[in-house]
Amino acid sequence: MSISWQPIAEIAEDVKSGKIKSVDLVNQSLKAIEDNKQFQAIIVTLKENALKRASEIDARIARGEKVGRLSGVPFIAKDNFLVFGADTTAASNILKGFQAPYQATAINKLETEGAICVAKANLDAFAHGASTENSDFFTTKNPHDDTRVPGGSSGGSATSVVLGLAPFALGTDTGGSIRQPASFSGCVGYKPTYGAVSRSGVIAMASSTDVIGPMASSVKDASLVFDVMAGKDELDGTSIDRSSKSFEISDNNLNVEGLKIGIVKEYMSDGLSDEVRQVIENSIEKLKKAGAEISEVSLPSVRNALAVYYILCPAEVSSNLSRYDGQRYGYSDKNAKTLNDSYKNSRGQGFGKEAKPTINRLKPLEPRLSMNSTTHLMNTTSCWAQLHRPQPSKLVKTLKTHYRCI
Amino acid sequence: MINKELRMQYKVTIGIETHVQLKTKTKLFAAVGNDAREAPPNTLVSHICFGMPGALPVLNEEALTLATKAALALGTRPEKFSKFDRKHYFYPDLPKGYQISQFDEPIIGKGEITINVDGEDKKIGITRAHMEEDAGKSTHATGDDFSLVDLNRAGTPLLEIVSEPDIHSSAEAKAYARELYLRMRYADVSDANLYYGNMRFDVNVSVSKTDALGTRTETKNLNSFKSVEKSVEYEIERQIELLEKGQAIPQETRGWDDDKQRTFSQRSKENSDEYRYMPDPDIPPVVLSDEFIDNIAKNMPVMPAEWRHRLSDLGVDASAIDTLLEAEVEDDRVDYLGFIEDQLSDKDTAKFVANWVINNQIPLYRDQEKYKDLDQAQVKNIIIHIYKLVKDAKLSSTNAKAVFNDALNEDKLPNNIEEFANLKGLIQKSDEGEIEKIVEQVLADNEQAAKDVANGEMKAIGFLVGQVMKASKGQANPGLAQQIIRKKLGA
Repeated sequence: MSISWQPIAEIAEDVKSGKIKSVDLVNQSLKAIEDNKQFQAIIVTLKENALKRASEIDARIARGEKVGRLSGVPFIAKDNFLVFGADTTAASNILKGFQAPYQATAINKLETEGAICVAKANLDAFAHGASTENSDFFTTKNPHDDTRVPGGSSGGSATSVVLGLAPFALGTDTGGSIRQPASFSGCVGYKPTYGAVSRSGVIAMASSTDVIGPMASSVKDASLVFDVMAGKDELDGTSIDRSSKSFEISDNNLNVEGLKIGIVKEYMSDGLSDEVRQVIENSIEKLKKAGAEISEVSLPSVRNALAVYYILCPAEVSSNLSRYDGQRYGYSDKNAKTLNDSYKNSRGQGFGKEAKPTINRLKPLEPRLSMNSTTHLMNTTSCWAQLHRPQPSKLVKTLKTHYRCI
Repeated sequence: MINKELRMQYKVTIGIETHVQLKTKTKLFAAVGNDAREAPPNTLVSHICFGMPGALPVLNEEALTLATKAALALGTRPEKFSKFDRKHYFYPDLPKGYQISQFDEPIIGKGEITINVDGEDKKIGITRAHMEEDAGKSTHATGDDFSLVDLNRAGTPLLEIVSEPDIHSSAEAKAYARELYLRMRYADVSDANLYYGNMRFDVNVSVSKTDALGTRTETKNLNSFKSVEKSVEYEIERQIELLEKGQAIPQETRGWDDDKQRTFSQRSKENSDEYRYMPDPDIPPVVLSDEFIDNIAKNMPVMPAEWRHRLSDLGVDASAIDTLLEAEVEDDRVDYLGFIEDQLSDKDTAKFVANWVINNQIPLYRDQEKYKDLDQAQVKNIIIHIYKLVKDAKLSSTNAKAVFNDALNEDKLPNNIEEFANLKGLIQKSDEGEIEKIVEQVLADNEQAAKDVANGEMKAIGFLVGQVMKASKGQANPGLAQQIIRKKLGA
């Protein structure tokens, strides 16, 4: 049922050479979405716009004009990305019917290189959750086992990639929301350094840790998409300059020989399931064989990370959700008689239960990590994808889904 | 009314918070025009001003330059590290549900300015000044069951300057407000147009018979120096009356009714914790280098307090100084102080020019705007020439004024003032022989007065000089005329 795509760079080459038409790729993607509806990965398809863009690209190629590195390549954006003119809900009722009047810088950059957004993927409402069960609309299924969750909050994107609904998808990660669903569903998910990709036009969860990253079938594909999106943006004061060096990983530069990899002691201890431990150990063996230098390192402040996260995150979420007040856009209770009722009812009825934030006044802590190695290897989650409802207790769920990701 | 003795028993303590709109081209966090004065509602807005999902604020660098100038104008330097915070509350003209402000690490720390009250200098401490974005404007028309929101003003950069409670009278409060206005204008930080609300004052007033401070009230959104003065005066009286009746003063926010000339209760004071201040994670902290600050400091203009010194050294009196300091910022077309500054190397010229500007140029320009459109470099040239003619006794002070007025009314400003004055018949005659002839005629026509002078009644000499001036159609040098009269009469 799922379809597999060629590597992204090859698809773009074939489109450029006229070997395949962009319109056919978009149709192939739309068909895959239709055929896999039962997984409920997609909130909305952008059929009309996507086909229009695809035929424009085909026409440009026919005229012999220059086209970009992702020419004609369909992709799926998590529904917290603003795509011009498209419904953008962040899977929350409060934004039902909201059409984006501008679009995310990341989307702009991908479109500039010829990529085509065909659909918006499901997520935990406002990216607040780790199973995609907290979408206000419906629950996405794990692509390998529909009794299990795909992880989250970028569960719709992960499932889309695994089912081959498009060659790649976009996710956002605040406390594991790319890494964990990638792990649960089985695709490549890359959480870049904070600020590497502009957050402009992406609905905020917790601004200090929100990052944007690719989800794809291979490291090569993910690195190409990241290379297109990365860089300083004048619409995001926290975005950072990128090196002029390409981030794209190819067969030529995929080499771990001599790379110093630290295995973080604290992550390899309690709470790690045997299955995951085994996978990590297998990976360590493979890396050793490929010439990497493996050593154990310690990050003692990891113990504070979850506490810090659960102080900062609810505070920022609560603040970032203040703008959804029913006064300018999105859901508004039309029966309210007073301004206060309008606020209370619009927010009370519009937000799902997960998004209703804990309100707190806080001071940030700064975990300081000592680094003796160039890169670290660690698990993204502590366990396999859990079953859909009945849900475990909130605390157990929270620890399981976040403990390893932060 | 409170009688004076009772009033004297109370110590008045006043602190003032001033909102100054910074004159950046674009808003504090969005690349959208900042001049909302004449723009139709909701035309100066972008997704950022509108609080759209995913919209991020990006700090305007020009605002940092202006805040740095403001710091220097407030007698200090900006903090090298400052940051922005979110202040949360819900209101329809606040699109994000929070206002971006600076809570615990503002851009400007402690400073001090000198104000002048009735010719006396007094120092007022500045506690801090922070940058923040303005909210939009709500209009609640009477009779309507809806309100209108205009977001043109949302995101306009403000500097909120907080004074120490160093102010102790309504006159000092007014002088402080005026001094801040002048400094913000001189430093070119703000248009500080009070009519357009570019500058608004919140006045905290308390009274106490003991050293302990009384409960304060805050009267908000005053937009004139006069309303600052009047509202302070009103609050002092109202609070003393309440205390004298044995009543407590509730800590509250009050408004000012300009028609009724009184303050009125608006709401009880909110606790700052209710705003859930937190660092704004979208805006990296602001770090200013010494180089950045020094470059701005190098080009800072002279502040009003220094001008008071300079002008007072030239013998200009305090009220004339105030006139001049305010006229300076009335209109960008004319730079009175720059003109005086250029003459400072020669004290006599500077003194003449300062007085000329105050007594002749400013009244003339205020009377008729059209003079401000003249080539001001040429006007300066005319004044300097007039000074030379007066110094050389070629122009009487009366005629000097006439020459100035006539010259400015010419279609083409005259280059040679001496020639121009001569053509108008306004040059003083200092030809002794000619004046002697006129004197002889005057003495012959006024025998009685001549006799009185000869007998030592010197009062009459003024009359005789006047007659000489009249006969010469104002062209005789009066000093010379007097000398000749004395010589003739042996007086």
